Amino acid sequence: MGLTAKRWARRAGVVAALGALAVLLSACSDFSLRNAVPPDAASVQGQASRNIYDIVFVIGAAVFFLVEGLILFAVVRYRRRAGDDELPPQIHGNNRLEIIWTAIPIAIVLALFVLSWQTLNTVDARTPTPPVRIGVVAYQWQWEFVYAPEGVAWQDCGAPVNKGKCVTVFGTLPAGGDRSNWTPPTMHVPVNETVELQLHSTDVIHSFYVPAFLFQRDITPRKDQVIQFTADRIGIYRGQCTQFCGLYHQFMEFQVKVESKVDYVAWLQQELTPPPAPSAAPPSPSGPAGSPAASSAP
Amino acid sequence: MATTALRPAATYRTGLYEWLTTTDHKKIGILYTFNSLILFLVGGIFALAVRTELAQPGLQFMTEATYNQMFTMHASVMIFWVVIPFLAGFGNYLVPLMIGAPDMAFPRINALSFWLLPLSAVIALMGFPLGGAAAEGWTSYSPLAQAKFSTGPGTDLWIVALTLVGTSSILGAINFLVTIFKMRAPGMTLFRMPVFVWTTMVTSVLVLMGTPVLTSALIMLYIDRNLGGSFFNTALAGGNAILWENVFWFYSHPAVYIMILPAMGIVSEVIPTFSRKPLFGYKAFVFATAGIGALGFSVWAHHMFTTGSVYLPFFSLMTFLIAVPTGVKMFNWVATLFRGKIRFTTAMLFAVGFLSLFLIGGINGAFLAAVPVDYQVHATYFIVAHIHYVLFGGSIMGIFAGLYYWWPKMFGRKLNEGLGKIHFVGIFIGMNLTFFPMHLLGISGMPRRIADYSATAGWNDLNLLATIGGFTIAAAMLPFLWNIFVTLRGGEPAGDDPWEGNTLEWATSSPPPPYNFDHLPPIRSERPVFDQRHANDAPALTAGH
Ligand code: HEM
Ligand SMILES: [Cu+2]
Ligand SMILES: [Cu+2]
Repeated sequence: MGLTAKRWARRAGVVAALGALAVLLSACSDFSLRNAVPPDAASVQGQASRNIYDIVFVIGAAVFFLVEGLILFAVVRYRRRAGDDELPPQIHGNNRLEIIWTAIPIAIVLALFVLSWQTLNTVDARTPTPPVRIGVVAYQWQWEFVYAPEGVAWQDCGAPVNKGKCVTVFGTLPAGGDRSNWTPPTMHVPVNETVELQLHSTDVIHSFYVPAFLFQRDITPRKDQVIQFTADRIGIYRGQCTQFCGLYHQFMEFQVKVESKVDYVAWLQQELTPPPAPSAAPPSPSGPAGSPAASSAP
Repeated sequence: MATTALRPAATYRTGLYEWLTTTDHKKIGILYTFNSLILFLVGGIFALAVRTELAQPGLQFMTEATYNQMFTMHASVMIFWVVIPFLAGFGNYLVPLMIGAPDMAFPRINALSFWLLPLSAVIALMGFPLGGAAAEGWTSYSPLAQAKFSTGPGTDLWIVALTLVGTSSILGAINFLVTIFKMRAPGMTLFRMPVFVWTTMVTSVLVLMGTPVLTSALIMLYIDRNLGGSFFNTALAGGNAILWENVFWFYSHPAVYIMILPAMGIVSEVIPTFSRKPLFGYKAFVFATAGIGALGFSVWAHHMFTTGSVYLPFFSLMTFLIAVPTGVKMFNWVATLFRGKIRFTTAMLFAVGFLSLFLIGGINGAFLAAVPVDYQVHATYFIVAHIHYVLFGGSIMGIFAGLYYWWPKMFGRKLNEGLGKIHFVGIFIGMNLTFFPMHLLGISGMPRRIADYSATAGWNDLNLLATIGGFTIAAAMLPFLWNIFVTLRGGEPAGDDPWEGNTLEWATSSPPPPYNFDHLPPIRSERPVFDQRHANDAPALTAGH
């Protein structure tokens, strides 16, 4: 019984592994080893986070190989041979060894703590005079990016005196839940300049996350947040809400377009010139615009 | 000592009425086990629904509304009705046996603790036929969980059900603590208790300090939803969404230790038995367990690093530190293997599986303790990878080890080892196929809790792989269920002590008689049954150090 069962178990394991491998290889279309490391940082702060990630990764990998190696060695080397009925030495412990393997992990985690704390101070650093300020309004289930001129708070953009002075990007949900010809709302920012985001939620908790910035921050109602970043690579980066916010959470995507200062100013200027055709009233953040062109159709 | 397997077996064949009214800790332990097993299958089906939908981009099988109920109820069921009660069930069955007591201190309260569980599970699941179960995630953050955003009865049923689970846990914790402190057999000093009893004791302290906080928070949430309260409802003056996160995690971080410490205890019984050695560093292990319990209440805000509302350095430091006692335990287990004579029973395979998988969960936990790294991967699939390496690779592997190890004691019959090994291999492979790719999905930015994802984000292959892994796990459960079925109908008789165990439960018959022991062996160390078995060996063999 024991032997055949063992053979069976081994055979089942091999078959499962081969099957999985075959499926993996045949279906491989968008996986690359690129997925095995975080995205290349597109911001100064993101690069700092990436550096600490790499340090933690190296130490984690070392611990992984060391301990898995010890486990593997022990189970191979110390397996009981058939017929061996002798009791092994009854070792109850070893104080010196135990002190060593308590002290070394303490040293490692303290070092990691200090390093990550330093990085945190870089990532969370703020300048009092950021050249660009953008209001970010999150609501079920889209985004609004509000660009107010110098001296005007984004919250006041709706006031009649500020009419025509602000630029607002409105997100919409994909019609019928079909992403294929839908563009998530795009936040334009100039490269190499510190951008401040003033994050505000009108309903539930959301989270502003841009993987290429290696950063996210929750947007909690009544707890507006201020974050700053300096994008240093021109390009378009995907972003998404990471805090589960209800039915259509999955559609709270956006993009960050990092462009040259010239392009950025030109875009802002173009948005400020009144559109030739009368535009429809913009959807209000918490209003029925939030209720999407239902994607729940079967 | 006679092998009395046949005599008590008769009492286990008694009718339904006996099972419904029993106050015997062993029968209650078995009820916990089967209840948890059934709900494990229910939770598993929800998980397969989630994985099936995510196999490819596009919504193929369900709407967002259904998907959100599936992932919410999957996590709720697995945490509150599977892992926590499974381990409490082992505690119920084993603690009195291991300390040489006839039963738990309060047998009728013990029965109440159990019966609250199936009752509450039914209440929570009633949401499905009544218009939709809870769908806010198991963390149920406000204001999303407020009546304005979560209409329908599902959320209220979830709150009521969890309040009952909390009550069950609190009663159970009191029962364990009184039993452990008041009912140990003569000679069973605290430092001679099996490690599993220690872990149950520390777990009970965590439950006693943490669960009332959750239960109160749930009642506050209920008041918010139904009686116009403004504890967490930010639509009203004074409502504070962060307050919910604080009180929720004040319980739910310790809860992760409630879900792992007893599993560590199980593994600490299994590994010494099958290495034929004592646990390396028993006292250090006990102190590490107590240390985890104490530190466990100072790290809750590591779940809130990205809120911008907590003092980051303190919680980061404490989170890093709590990895240390866990690391110490890992070395204790590995050192126990060293120079042993290891026998690879199914129980031992699951225990070694625990070591190799839980290690990964500890390492990726340390990633998350670094705040800048957490900024990057919080609320992504990296978290899903972490929690499954600790809860599946840790708790569930430990539970399976315990089932194969103590099944012969519970039923007088061994589970089939051949089927058991197939089970293990399938679970081990499936588990890694499912959850390892999630690390990569997380660092490439895939948020958790999304019903669908963009086809161009680069996540298609890894999601498909994870789904294949999920079905591998499901397939691996079939030989296990079959094993239970055939064993209950007539498996290999176990005898009193099939594995050459160390602790007192192996000194009585399988299954044990009502009130457990006719007589106890002398208790002079943490391994009384080992001592008795080797009483006549040369002293050099069994002496310490
Ligand atoms: C080495 C020890 C550990 C460390 C350093 C650690 C660290 C962390 C951190 C920092 C988080 C929050 C991540 C985030 O949401 O951004 C987290 C989440 C989590 N951890 Fe651990 N952890 C450890 C062990 C465990 C264990 C033993 C368990 C359970 C058996 C566990 C279960 C969980 C769960 C369930 C979550 C996610 C909860 C959720 O958001 O749904 N962890 N861990
Ligand atoms: Cu969201
Ligand atoms: Cu935690």
